[in-house]
Amino acid sequence: MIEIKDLHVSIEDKEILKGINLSIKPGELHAIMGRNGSGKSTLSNVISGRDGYTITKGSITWYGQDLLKLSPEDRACEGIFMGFQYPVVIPGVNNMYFLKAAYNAQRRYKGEEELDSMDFISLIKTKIKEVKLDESFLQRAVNDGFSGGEKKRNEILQMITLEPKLAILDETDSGLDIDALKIVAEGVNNFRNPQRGFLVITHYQRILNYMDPDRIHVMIDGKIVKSGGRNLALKLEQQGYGWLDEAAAV
Amino acid sequence: MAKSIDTSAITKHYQREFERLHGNSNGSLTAWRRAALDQFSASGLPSSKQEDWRNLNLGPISGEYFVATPAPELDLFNNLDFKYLPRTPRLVFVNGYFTAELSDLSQLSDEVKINSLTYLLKTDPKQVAKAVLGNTPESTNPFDRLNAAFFNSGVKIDLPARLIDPVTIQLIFITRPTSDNQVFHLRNLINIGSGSQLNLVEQYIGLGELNYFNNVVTDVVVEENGGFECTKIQAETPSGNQLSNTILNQQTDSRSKSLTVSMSGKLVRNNLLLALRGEGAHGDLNGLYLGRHNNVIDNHTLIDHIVPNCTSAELYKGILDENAQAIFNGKIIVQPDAQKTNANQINRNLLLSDKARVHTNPQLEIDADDVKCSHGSTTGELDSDTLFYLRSRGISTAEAQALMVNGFANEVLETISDDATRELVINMVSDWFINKSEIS
Ligand SMILES: Nc1ncnc2c1ncn2[C@@H]1O[C@H](COP(=O)(O)OP(=O)(O)OP(=O)(O)O)[C@@H](O)[C@H]1O
Ligand SMILES: [Mg+2]
Repeated sequence: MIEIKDLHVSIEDKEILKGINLSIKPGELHAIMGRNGSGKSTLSNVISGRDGYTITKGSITWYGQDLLKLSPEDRACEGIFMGFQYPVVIPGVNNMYFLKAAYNAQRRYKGEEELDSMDFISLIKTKIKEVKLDESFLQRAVNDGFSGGEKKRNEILQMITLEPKLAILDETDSGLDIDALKIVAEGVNNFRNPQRGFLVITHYQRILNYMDPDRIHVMIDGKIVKSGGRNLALKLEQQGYGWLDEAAAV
Repeated sequence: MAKSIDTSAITKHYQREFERLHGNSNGSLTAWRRAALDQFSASGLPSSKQEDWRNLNLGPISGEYFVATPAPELDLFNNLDFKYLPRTPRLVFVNGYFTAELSDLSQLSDEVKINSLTYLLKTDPKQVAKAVLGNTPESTNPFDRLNAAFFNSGVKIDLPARLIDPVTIQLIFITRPTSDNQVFHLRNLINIGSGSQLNLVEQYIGLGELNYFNNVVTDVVVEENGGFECTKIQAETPSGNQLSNTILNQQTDSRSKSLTVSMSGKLVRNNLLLALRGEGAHGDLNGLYLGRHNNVIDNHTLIDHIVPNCTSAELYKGILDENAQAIFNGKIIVQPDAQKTNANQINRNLLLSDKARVHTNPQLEIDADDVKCSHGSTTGELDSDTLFYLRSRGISTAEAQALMVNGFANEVLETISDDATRELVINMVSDWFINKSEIS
C-alpha cells in the first residue's frame, strides 16, 4: 500500500532522514525502534504531510500515486492515520464535535452521506467502550486536562472511528500503565484485518509481545540499519543499540 | 487619513443643536443638561494624547457633524428581518425610538416597571431627572456629558426587591440611519431591588451603509443581595460607530456577570466601570471582541474595589483579522479600605492577519496590603501544531481554522448562564467567522 524509496528529509538545511526504504503491504504490521532523535517521528510526520520538512530526495507512493503531492487532510481521507506521540490539547473545542467533524469530512471526501448527530452519537458510544474511556470524555474539550494515558486512548478512539487503511502509531505505548497498554494493544489487534497496514513506533518490545509484528526495523541516525523478525526486538531490549552503530556508520 | 479636528467648530455645532432641541425648555433636567453641555464645551472632544484615549483615532466621530434625528417614519421598521429570532419579553428600538409594533412585553411580570425614556421624558420628566441626578456621578468623559445633554431615548427598568423568579428581558436597538451622520444618544437606567435577579440581553444591530454614531450610557445599580447578568452584543455596520459608557454599581453581597461581545463597527469604544461598593459583592467581567476590515474596537474597563471582601474576575478575548485594531485597557483599583480583595484579570488575543494589531495594557493600582490580584495577557496566532492535528484527521484548513477560532471564543461564551442566550451568541460568532470566508 505504501512504498517509501530512498527518502531524504531536511529541516532547515539539516538532514534528518538519510535514505529511508520501507514498504508496507495490506495486512502487515511493521514496527520501528530506535534511539531518541533518530528520526522516527520525522518519518511519521512526513508521511502525514506536516509542513516544515524539505524532501531533498526520494519518494513515497500510496497505492501507486505520489503521496507527497497530497495535503494532510487529503492523505487522511485517503486512509492514512497518525496517532501522535504528543497529542495536541485544543481548549474550547468539544471532543465529540471534533470527532464528528473529522468523520464527516472523510465521508464527504469519499462521496458518502454524512452522519447526523444522533447516528454519530450512537456510533461513537460503541467505539468509546472499546478503548474503555468514560463517555464524559466526549463532552470535554479535545485532550484538555486528559492524563497522558487518556490522551493516547483518545488517539486510538480516533483511529477506530475513522477506520484508516494505514495506521501509524507514534509511541502510543509510551507512558501507559499495564492495563492501558493492554487496552491499546487490544484496540489495535481487534482492528487488524487483511486490508489494513500498521506502522508502530515504540521503544519497548513489551507492546510487540501483544501485537505479533511482521517486521521490525531499527532506525539509527536517519537510516534503517537493520530489519528482522520478533527476535530482533528481544535482542535490542537485552543489548541496546550499540552493536548496530557500526552498521549505521557505513 | 484622519482629518484635522476643529474642536471649537464641533462644540459650536453641538451648542446649536442644543438650542434647536432644548432651547425652549426649562426645569431641573434642562439645567442639568445645560451644565453637562457646558462641561463638554469646556473640554471638547478627547485627544489621543490623553491617557484614557491613547492609541485611539477618534477621526470617525469627530470629523463629521453628527445630527440628532426626529422619530423615524413607520415604514423604516417595517420589513425588518430578524436573522436571530428575538425572544420575549423584548423591547425593540429603531433609531433610538421605542417601537411597540416589534416589541412584546406580554410575558413580563407586572411587578417589573419598564418604560421607554422617550415616553417618560414626555410624561414624567421629574422621574427622569430624579434618576439621572441621583445616579450619575461627576463624569469626566466628554461623550458621557454629550449624552447627558442630548439623550432622548433608552429604557428605564426597575425591579422591585425580593422577586422570587429571575426576570429576563431582551433589548434590541436597531440603527438604520436615514441620512449620513446621524447620532443617537441612548440612556438606560436600571435598578435591581435587593434579592432580585435581572438577566438582560442588550443587542445593537446596525443596518445599511450610512455613517452613524450611537452614544450609549448605561447606569445600573444592583442592590443588596441582588443579581445582574448582562449580555451585550454590539453588531454595528462597518460604517457605524458606538461609544458606550456603562457604570455598574454593586451593593453588599450582590453578584454581577457581564459579557460584552463586540463585532464589527468602524469605531467601538466601551468604557465599563464596575464599582464594588458593598462588602461581599462579586463581579465577573467578560468580553469578546471580533474585528476585521478596518474595525477599531477599544475596551476600557475599570474595576473599583472600594470596600473589603469583594471579588472580581475579568476575562477579555479578542480575535482580529485583516486590518482590524483593538485596544484593551484593564484597570483594577484596590482602595485602602478594600482588604481581602481578590481580583484577577486575563486578556488573550488571537491575530489572524499580520496587519491586525492589538494594544493591551493592564493597570493595577493597589493601595491595600492584604489582597490577591493577578493579571496576564497574551497575543498570538493560530497554533500550527493544532492546525496540523485537525488536518491530519481529514478536516480542511478552513474548517479547522473555524473550529479553532470558535474554540478560542468558547471559553468566554461558555460563561453565559442562559441556554438560549448562549446559543444566540454562539451562532452570531460562527456567522461572523463564516462571513469572512465568503468575502475573501
Ligand atoms: N522542527 C525541528 N527543528 C529542528 N530540528 C528538529 C525539528 N524537529 C525534529 N528535529 C530534530 O530531528 C531529529 C529527529 O527527531 P525525531 O522527533 O524524528 O526523533 P525521534 O526518533 O522521534 O525521537 P524520540 O524517540 O525522542 O521521539 C532530532 O535531532 C530533532 O532534534
Ligand atoms: Mg518521536
